[in-house]
Amino acid sequence: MKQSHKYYLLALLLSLVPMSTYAADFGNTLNRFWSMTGFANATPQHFIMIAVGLIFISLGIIKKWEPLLLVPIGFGMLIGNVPFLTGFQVGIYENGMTQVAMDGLQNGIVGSQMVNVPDPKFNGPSVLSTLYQGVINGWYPPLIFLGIGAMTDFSSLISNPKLLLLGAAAQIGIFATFIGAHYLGFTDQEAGAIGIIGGADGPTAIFLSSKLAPHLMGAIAIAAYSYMALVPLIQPPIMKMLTTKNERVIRMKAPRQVSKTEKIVFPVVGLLLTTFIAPSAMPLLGMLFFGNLLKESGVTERLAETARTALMNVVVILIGVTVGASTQAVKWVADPETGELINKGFLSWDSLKIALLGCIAFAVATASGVCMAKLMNLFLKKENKINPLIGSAGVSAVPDSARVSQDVALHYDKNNHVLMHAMGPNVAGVIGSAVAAGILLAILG
Amino acid sequence: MVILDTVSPTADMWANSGLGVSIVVSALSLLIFAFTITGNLSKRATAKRSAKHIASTGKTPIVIKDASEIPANEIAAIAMALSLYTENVHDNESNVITIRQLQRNYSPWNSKAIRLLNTAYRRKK
Repeated sequence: MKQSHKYYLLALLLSLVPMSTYAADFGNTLNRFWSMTGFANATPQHFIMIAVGLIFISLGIIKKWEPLLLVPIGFGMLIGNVPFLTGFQVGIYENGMTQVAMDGLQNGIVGSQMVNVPDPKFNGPSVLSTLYQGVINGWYPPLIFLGIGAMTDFSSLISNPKLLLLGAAAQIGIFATFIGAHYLGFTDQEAGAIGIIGGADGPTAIFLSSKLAPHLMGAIAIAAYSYMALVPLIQPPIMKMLTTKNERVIRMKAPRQVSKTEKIVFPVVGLLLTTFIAPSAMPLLGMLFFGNLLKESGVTERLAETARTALMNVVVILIGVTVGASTQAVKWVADPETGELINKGFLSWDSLKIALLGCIAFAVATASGVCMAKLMNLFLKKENKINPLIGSAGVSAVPDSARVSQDVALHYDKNNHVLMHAMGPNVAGVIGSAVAAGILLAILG
Repeated sequence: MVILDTVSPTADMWANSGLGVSIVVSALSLLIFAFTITGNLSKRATAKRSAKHIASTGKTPIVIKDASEIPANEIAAIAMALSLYTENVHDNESNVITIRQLQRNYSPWNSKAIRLLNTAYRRKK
């Protein structure tokens, strides 16, 4: 053995002396570290949710179904379902608050009630919790509506205003699901939040559920966005079932040219008329019509450009990731009355019921739009007849449902382009679902 | 200020749903009414402007009486072409390539003549 090697060996032996001295502490530290890892805290439910997240990501990337939504939501699900020990302010529900019992006056009776107060041992809410505030307090959805307004051309609707009726008819899906959810055992507020899935509008669904049933928001948002991605699969069979071959080949009159003045008047009049009827929908409709005015005024192009690109993209990223992260497999919540821990996580029978109701909501909304178009045709002159295939675009999945109408129409007549006409009920559906959300909020909020 | 108690413990699901649907339909019907009026006003204003134009210049503007005369395929092709054109606008470059002479300013920091570690070289005889 070389002389230098002997020195190395001696140094190594000497370094092991303190380690052996503190071997017990070393073991404890290792145990503590192990108890905090994801491996030690994982449950089968976590792996199920991680698999669901991976399916979402795969559908977005491979099938290209709503990738702008499914990829952030899917990745958010992975983030939200990494198992961890609570108390380190990393989880999305760790808001730095603690519940304490305080004496107070409630409904005229003096008694003890649980109140949220900032916990001094935590240094504020976690990062994810801070980002999640936009969902909880409902300020992401209006910002998305601002972007939608700034990118939507309402010309087809302005040139043929009666198409608004198709958007109104599709909202029957919301109220039918509202009744269905009630009969499946949900409370009135929960039923209202679930019903809005029928509007096929993700931001509206998040906005309403954050107000009426925050504990179901993850399941509702996931159901809404999943079915929006599945619009090309859900709608065509219903459209074909409810229409005859002759109806599917109806050629509609080309829309008239809309003047710039009309386009500018539309957001102003639209806002005033709809919000005077349903003021609760003001945050959504206000931003939608404001975004549209920025676009159409012609003098605020920079603002419109920011609203429909940078701002919209930022909010879509934040809303997607945080909604995905909110779908935790297991979430133990103390019952306010008994104090018993209840699982309010994503993997529950309630989520399955919501998924089922969401599917029914989409089907009813599609059928209602198509039937309304057929009904309108009974009263319209031959040259003004509506192709009932555009009725399905009354659900506000913009522009997917309009694209589905176009594809089905082209299948039966290769020269019949109904996309422009279908965009009318499609944007009417956005307005209609926001009004419906406002009404539900006023009745149940 | 009047505070309406909208939450009723005996709220009837069917009544609420019926009310909701009818409010949505009436709100959108109101929009139909408003935009039919603004549409008619706009058409009238366009016709007036056109008549004025004819009276002042004596020229009749080219008007396509029936837009359905244009085949839908052509309209779709024109729309697609316009969309592609407007979405693919790049900065126009001059395409002029110039070669500039790069002149290095003298700096004693990289001067070979005064650096400390001069490399060895063979002296010429």
